Order: sequence, then C-alpha cells, then structure tokens
Amino acid sequence: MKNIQGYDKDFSVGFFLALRDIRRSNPWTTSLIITVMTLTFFNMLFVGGILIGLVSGLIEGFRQYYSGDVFISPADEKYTIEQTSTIISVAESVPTFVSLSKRYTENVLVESNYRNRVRTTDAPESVGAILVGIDPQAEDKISHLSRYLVEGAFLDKNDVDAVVIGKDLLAKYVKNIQAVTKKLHDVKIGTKIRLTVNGKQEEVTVKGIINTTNQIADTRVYMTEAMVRKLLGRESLNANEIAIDLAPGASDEEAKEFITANISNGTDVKVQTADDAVPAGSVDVKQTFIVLRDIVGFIALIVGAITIFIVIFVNAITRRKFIGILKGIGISSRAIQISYVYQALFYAVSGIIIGSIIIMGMLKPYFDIYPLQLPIAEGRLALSYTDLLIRAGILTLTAFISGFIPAWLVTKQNTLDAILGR
Amino acid sequence: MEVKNLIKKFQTGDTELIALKNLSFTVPTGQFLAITGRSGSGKSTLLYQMSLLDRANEGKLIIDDQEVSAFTNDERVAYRRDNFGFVFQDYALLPVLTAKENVMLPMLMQGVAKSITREKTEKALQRVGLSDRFDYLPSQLSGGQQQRVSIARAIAHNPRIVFADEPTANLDTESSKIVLDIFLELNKSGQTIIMVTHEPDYAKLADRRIELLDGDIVNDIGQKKGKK
Repeated sequence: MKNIQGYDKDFSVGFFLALRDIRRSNPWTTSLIITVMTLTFFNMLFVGGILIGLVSGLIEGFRQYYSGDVFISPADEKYTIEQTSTIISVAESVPTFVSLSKRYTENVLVESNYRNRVRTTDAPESVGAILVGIDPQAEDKISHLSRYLVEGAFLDKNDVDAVVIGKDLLAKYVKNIQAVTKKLHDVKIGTKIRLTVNGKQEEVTVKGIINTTNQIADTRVYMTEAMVRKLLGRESLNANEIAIDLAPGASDEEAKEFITANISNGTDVKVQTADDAVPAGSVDVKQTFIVLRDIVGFIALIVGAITIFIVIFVNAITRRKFIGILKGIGISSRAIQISYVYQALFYAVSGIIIGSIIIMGMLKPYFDIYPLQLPIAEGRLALSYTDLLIRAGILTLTAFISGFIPAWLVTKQNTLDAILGR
Repeated sequence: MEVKNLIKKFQTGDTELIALKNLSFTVPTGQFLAITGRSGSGKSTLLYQMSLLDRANEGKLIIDDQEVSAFTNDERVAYRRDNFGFVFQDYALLPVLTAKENVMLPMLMQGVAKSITREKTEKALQRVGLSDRFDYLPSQLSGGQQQRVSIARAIAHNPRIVFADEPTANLDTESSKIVLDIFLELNKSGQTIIMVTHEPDYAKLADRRIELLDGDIVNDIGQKKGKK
C-alpha cells in the first residue's frame, strides 16, 4: 500500500513538473519538436500506405476487372473448363452468388495499317493479345468494363464485327517509348483491324477502347461470345474462364469450398478465390513493398526516437543542476524521470494526433477520390485504423523509452555533484 | 543533531585531502548555528554531510537516536524531504515554476493535501514578505526576492532543520539584511537553522559560531545558546 501511495506521488509530482515545463517552454521549440514527431508518424504511415495501396490497387484491379471473387479455370494441362454448364449451375446455387461471366479465350495476333502499306512486303503493325468472347451484359456486371471506356462504346450482344480493345495494345496510350514500338499506331474508333486466330483471319472494327489500369484487362480484345466461337470454330460450350461475383462481405473461401464440394467427382477444374488466382508476381511485389514499408517506418521511428532522446537529454543535461536541487529538496528520482517521460509522451502523442488528422482526415479521403493514376494500377492510401493504432503504439513506446533513458542517466548522478556542477 | 567523529576525505590523483578532521559536536533543537571560516576551510563540506547531501568517510550523524548517516540514498531523499529545508547560495529555484509552485513542490512530494499545501505555501510566502509575488516566475524577481522564495520553500513544510549555504553571498547589503532578519525571526519561533557564511558580521547574529580552519574546529562560540 505504501509503495502504491509512493508511486501516486511520483506520478502527480512528475505531471506537475512536466505540465509546467511544457507550458512555459519556448513555443517555437515545442512546435518544432511536435512537427518532427508529426513528420515521423506521417513517414511511418504515408510512404508504406502508398506502396501497399499501389499493390493492393493492382490486386484489387485483378479481382475487379478479371477474376471476380471466385475464378474458375481449366485444370492444368486442360484447355477448357470441363462441363462448363454444370459448373455454372453449381456456381449459381452458391448462397451468396450475385453474377458470373463465362469467357472464351484464345491467343490472337492483332494487326493494323495492313491496308496502308506502301509495299506488300512491308510488315504490318501487329501485336499479340488475348481474344475474349463474352456476353457483354454478363461481363459488364462482373468487371464493369463499360465504365472504363476512354473512347467509343461498349459491346452489344448483337455486335457482329466489333471489338473493344484494351489501351495497353495501343501506342497512343503507352508512355514508355520502347514499349510503343511494339504497339498499334493510329488505331481509333472505327479503325479496321485484323485478327488472326489459329490461321483464320477476321477483319473487325474498333468500337471502344478501355482503360482499367489493370494489365490483364487492358491487353485483351473483347468480342461477343458468338463471334469468337464462330471464329474459333468451337462447337463445345466449354469456356476458358468463369468469373463469379458474390454479395458484398461474402466469404470467397466458403463459396470456393461450396463449388468444389458440389461439382461432380472427376470434373477436373481449378476453383480459386481472387487471392489464390492473383499472379504470384503481384503477391511477391506486395511482400516486397511490405518489407519496404517496414524499413521506411523503422527508419522514421529511429529518427523520431533519436529526436526525442536528444531533446530530453539536452533538456535534462542543461538542467542537471536543477535536477540535483530537486533531489536535494526531496523530490524522488522517479518523479523527475516521470516528468521527462510525460514530456516525451506529450511530444509523441501531439505528433500522432496531428499526423492522424492529416493522414486519415485529409490525405486518405483525398486519395480515395483522386487516386494516383499509375500505368499498372490506381494508387490509394492503404491504411486502416488498426495500422494507425499499431504505429501510434510503437511511436508512443519509443517515446517512452527515449524519454526515460536520458532522464534516468541524469538522475542517477550524485546529487551533490549535480548541484555543484561537478 | 549529534555529529560524531566525522571525517571526510577527497582523493585528487595520488593526493588525499582531508576536508573534515574528526569533527564532533551537538546542535540542540532551536539553535541558530553559523559555520564560518575561510574559503576552503571545509564549512560547505560540513554542511553537505550534516544535511545528508553527501556521505562522510567516517563518523556518524545522529538525530533523535537515529543514525541517519547510515541511510540508503532513497531513505536520505525521503528524510531530507520530510525533515530538512534548504536555502542555497544561488537560490536554486526552478525557472519554469512560479514562486508559489516552487514553494509547493516539497509538500506535493510529501503527499500533503492540496488545500493544506496551498494554505502553507501562501503563509510561508507572506512570512517572507512576498504575498504580492505568488505567481511570478524567478526570472521576474530580484535576487533578494528569489532568495526569500527559496526560504519560503525551505520552511513551508515545517522542517526540523533549515540548512543555508552562503544564503547572502549573491545579495546586496539591503537584501542580505532582509534575509538574515527572516532567519532571526524564524529562529525566534523555534526553528533550528544551520547556516554557512564567510561574513563574520552575519555569523555574529547566530546563537553559536563554529569556525573551521583546514577541516578542524578552531572556535566554537556560544555553544550553549539555544532555544531549548
């Protein structure tokens, strides 16, 4: 009981001293320290948030424009999805099912300016792509491609020789000069382009150009399902891809398990959640960015810790005599240490509060509305309140340690030596 | 307070300097003791041992049959807080605290209730004639006023002994006189005061004078005087 009462006095005297020290210190110095702490906290969250936001945008783009929540594809070494119609029935019976799109895909060579060549020996501009046969209405429910048209219009189920083409196949939408040489030039709405699939050629008209910022979706050529099947000469109704959307908040894993459990034995297909299906490269990039975020955050933390340490140490060392006097008149070392820890916490918590207001109150909403437009994805600020609280906790703990150590070093000195400045 | 065979040595390289040479004397309660001597005679060193700010190499300090010199550092801090008051040469006020807050501090550490602390603080400041300077920072006060705040801090919690280390050294004659008058007034009301001074005239105002030379007592005048 005595000890608890003792601590009580240490805390209250420590608070008494810290409050007055902060209140009567130079406001410019205090503002400067708080600014450094704000920038430290900002650095711990913002850089990492943008990096992760970029990869999350990439992965989310994959889900949104390509895979849906659950993605079904042929088993390894198979070319199409066996018993597509049966699998579609199973998918539609998933309790959280919302919509699906089945796609017929094939590698295609896309050529332009083949009519304008000066000599017949001149090679036309060409680019390899994936031709995708879709039900425009069903596909649009999944990937909302019609929202991402930068030119022209989306496909209609009655379109015969029309295609919607991804912007990454066109030179005018690609900024990298080297890459431009491998793209199609002068292709606009109404331009005739030639598709070559399995030796068969078909001339089609560009009806629309899409820009989703997702690399898979933007390197595809979309055509109606009937036209693709006709071009491929496919009689089987087995598709190459099925993308399924679930109700918001529904579990991808549960839907995947439901489909896997309900398709008949011997049907060999690959059922994946969007996270399973995402290209391994994106996951690696995300892991790399997480490491980068942690490194940047750690460096920021070290800078913040050193700042607090220096501030408290200089403060304590220049008041060494007063600390000696405090001890001389009976103020416990613990109360003095606590007063410095309170000050360190004040700087850190002020920085955290201001940094949080700037990041969560201003920058996050801003980037949600105006994401960074990057060629591979839209960059948003990927931050949750959990991230914020964890980093706030780490910075607070660091401030505690950085405030305590210098105070402890100074208070442990001999009282009389401190008073006499020896 | 009983000082018994007190020896304090300092080591400077290979040289050992004996600052206090086997001193023994008793300070009765209520006495105003002045410790005098030339610079380097050991008077401040003696005060630091008696006030438990430093440890002697040999000897004992006994207060009320308790050997306080044997206390641990933490026990010494607590004992100083509860039983001693300090007045330093350079006032030793905390620059970020007002006069009132400086005086309150030891009582807050003692855990005295806030209302009582406030009351005792105001009474102490009134006693040293600073009732109109409660909320002034040390930088807004003259040297003499700062020393009076320092005295108020030393007496507010009713200590058994007030230690004063050259309290007038940094003051002009007028301010010194005010400070000494306060000490005399305090002593008149029964306060034990142990003051180090190099001014013989000021020392004469005390009940008793101990004069040191090279760490030894060469004069002990008026040792029987005391209020009790």
